[in-house]
Amino acid sequence: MTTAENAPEAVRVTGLTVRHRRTVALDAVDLDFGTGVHGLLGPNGAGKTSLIRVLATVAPASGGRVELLGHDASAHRDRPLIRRRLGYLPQEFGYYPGFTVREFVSYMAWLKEMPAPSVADAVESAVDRVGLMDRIDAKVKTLSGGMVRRVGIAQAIVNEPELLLLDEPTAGLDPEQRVEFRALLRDVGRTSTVIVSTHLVEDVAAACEQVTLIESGRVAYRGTTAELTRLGEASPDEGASPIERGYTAALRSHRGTTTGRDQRTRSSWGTGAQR
Amino acid sequence: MSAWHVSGPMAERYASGSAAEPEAWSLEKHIESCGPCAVRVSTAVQRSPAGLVIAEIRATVLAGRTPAAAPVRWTARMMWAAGPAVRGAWLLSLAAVIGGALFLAYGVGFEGARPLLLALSPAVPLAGVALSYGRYSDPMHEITAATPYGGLRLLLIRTAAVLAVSVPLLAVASALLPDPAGPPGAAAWLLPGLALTLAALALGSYTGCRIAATVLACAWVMAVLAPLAGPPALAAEAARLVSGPDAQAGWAAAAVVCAGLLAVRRSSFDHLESV
Amino acid sequence: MRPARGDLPTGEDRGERDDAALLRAVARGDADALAVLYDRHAGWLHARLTRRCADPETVREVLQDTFVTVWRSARSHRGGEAGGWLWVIAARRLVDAQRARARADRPLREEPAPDPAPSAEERVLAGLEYGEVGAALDRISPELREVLRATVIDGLTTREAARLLGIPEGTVKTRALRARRELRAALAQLASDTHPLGGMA
Repeated sequence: MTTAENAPEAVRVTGLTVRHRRTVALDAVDLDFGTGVHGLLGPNGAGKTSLIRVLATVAPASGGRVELLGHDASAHRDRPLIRRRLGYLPQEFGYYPGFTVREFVSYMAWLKEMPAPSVADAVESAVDRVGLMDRIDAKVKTLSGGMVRRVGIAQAIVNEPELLLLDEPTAGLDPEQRVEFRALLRDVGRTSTVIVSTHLVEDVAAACEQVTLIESGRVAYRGTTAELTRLGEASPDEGASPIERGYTAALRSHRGTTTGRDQRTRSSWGTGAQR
Repeated sequence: MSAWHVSGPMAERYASGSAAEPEAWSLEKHIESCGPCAVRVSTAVQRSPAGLVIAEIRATVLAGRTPAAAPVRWTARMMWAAGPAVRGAWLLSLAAVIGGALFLAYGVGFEGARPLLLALSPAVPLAGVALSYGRYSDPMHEITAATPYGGLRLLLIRTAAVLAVSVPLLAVASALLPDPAGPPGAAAWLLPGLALTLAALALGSYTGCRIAATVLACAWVMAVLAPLAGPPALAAEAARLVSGPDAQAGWAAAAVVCAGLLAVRRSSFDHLESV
Repeated sequence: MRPARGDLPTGEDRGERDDAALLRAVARGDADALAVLYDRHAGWLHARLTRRCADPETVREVLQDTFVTVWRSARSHRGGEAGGWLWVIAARRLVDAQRARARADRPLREEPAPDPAPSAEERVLAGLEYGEVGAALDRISPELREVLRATVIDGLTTREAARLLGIPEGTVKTRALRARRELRAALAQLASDTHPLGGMA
C-alpha cells in the first residue's frame, strides 16, 4: 500500500496564507515535511490548527501553493487521490450516537474508499493498535474521553496513510496511553509523514524528530528535536527541561525579530512550557 | 521456562481461596504462561463450590454466541450512506407530516388534506437535505470532509437517500388520502420537489445547504400559503403552482438548470467553512 | 475437531490443541474450541477475579463478558501467551465494572508522566517464583501489597488500579512507591540474612 513516492517530500507549502475574516491565521508560510514524525509546536492560537486543516484539505488556502503527496491540493480532480492516502484526526470530532467502535472505523474506511474485502481486517488491526480491541463492539458513546480519542486515532490510521495529520492527539490520554501513543507515532513515522500539532513540549521531545515552531501565523523555528534541546541548554531559564527552555528561547528570539506583532497571543500561550 | 510448577496442593489452596498472597502471586503469574498449570488450577476451581457458577456461565457464553468479526452488513452500509438525516429528527418529522395528513383526512374529515400534503411535500426533502451535510448538521463533518467521499459526492449520496425514503412514503400517503377530484394529481409535486432539492444544493454551494434549504422551503411554503383562505384556495394555489404541462415543464427546466449549476459549482463543497 | 463438552480436561491431556490454535479456531467461529478454551481457563480466571472482587455477581458478569469478548475478538490475538491475554481482558473488564459501580465520573485530568521504565523490583516480581520475594512480600502491609498486586501482577495502569481499589490515583502512586521501598528494604534484609555477601535474585 505505502509506495515510496518519487517526490521526496509529502508536503510542500509555499507562501501559504490563511485568513479567517479579518484575522490572518497563517502569513505567507513556506514549509515542507518528509517521512518521519514532525512536531508542530506553538502557543494556542498560533495557527497550528489552520495549517493542519489546510493540509487535511478541509480548509482552503487564501493564498500560496500547497502540494500534498505530489498533487496540487487546490485541483479538484486531484483531491480524491490525496485524500485516499490521508489520515486526519481533528481536535474535535463527533460520531453518530448508535455507532460501535467497529462501525465507526469501518465507516471511515468506506469513506476513504478502501477495498471492501480488506476493510474488516484493517479495522481490527487499527483498533488493536490503539489498544481498544476489547471494546471494539462497544458503543462509542459509552467510552471515556481518552478512549474516544483513541477511536479517532484508529480511524486516522485505518487506511495506513502516507500523510497522517493529528491535531492535539494526546488531549485526554492518560500518561501511560500517551507513552503508547508516541510509540505508535514513531512506528507510523518510519514509512509515512506524520505531523502532530501539540502544545505539549514533552510530546514533541518523546515522539518527534523534527520540530516546527509556529507563532502568530509565522514559522518561528525549524530544526531537529535535538537542536531545540541544545538551544535550551544554552538558555538561562531555570526549572524547565532543556527542550522546554529551547521552546521558550526560540519563541523569544522570534518575537524579538517581529516586534509589534499581535500581543494578544502572548498571554494565551504557555501550558506547554509549564511542565 | 523454569522448572517451577503449580503443585496439586497449591492449586487446591488457591481454588479454595486459602493461598497466602505471595504464593497466589507466583501462581497467577506462572499460569499466565504455563498451559498445563492453568488447566490444573482451573480443574481444581471447577471441583470447588465455584464450579457450579462456572458451568452456568459456560452455558450462557456458548448459547449466546455471536459470530467472530462480523463483516459489515449491507444494512449498515445503507445507514452510512444515508447520513445523519435519515436517522433522526427528519425521519420523525416525515412521519409526523404523513400521520398528520392521514389524521386530518380520516380522523377529522378535513377535505383539504391531500392538497395540504401536496403543498408540504416538496419541503420535506429540503429539510432532509438541510440536515444531511455540513458542519452544523453532521457531527462527523470535520473528519468526513477529509475523505475522498467528502464534498459533493457524499452530499449527493445523502440527498439520494433522503429522496429514496421520502418520495415513496409521500406518494403512498397521498394515494391513501381521499381524492378531491381535479388537479393537482397525486404525483404533481414530484418535479417541483426535485427541482427545489437541486436548487437547494446549487444555492448551497454558495451559502451552505442548511441556509439554502431553509430559504427555499420558506419560499415554497409562502408561495403556496400566501393567498391562503381555507382549503379550496389552498388546493387552487397548489394547483396553480404544480399542475398543467406548462407548470411541470417549468419545474423540469428549473431542475435541469440547477443540476447544471451544481455541476459547475461542484468543487465548492470541498471547503465550506460557513456551512 | 474434538468434542470437549461435559468432560473436564486434565493437565495430562495429550494431543490437545494448544491455546494459540484454539484461539485461531475461535476466530473462525468454532464454538467447540471456545468450549475447550473456557474449560481450560475459566476456573483460574474465576478464582483470580474472586481474590480481587468480593462481590460474586460482579465476578460472574466479568467472567462472562471476558469470554464474550474472546469470542468476538479472538482474531486480534497476536501470538503470545493465551493466559496472559485472557487476564488482560478480564482485568480491564473488572476495572470497567468497578468504575460503573462507583460512577463518580469526574472529567479526565492531565497528570505528570510517571516513570515508565520497569524498575528492578518489577522485574524481580515478574518472576515471582524465585526465592526470597515471597518472604519479603509477607513483610509489607496488606494495602501496599494490594497496590503492588494491581500494578505489577495484574499489569494495570495507575488509573485502572485506582478504580479497581477505589482509592485516588495519587494514593496508588504513593503506595506503589512506598511498597517498592519497603520491598527493597525487605529484600535487602533477607539477602543479608541469608547470603551475607551475595546480591539477591
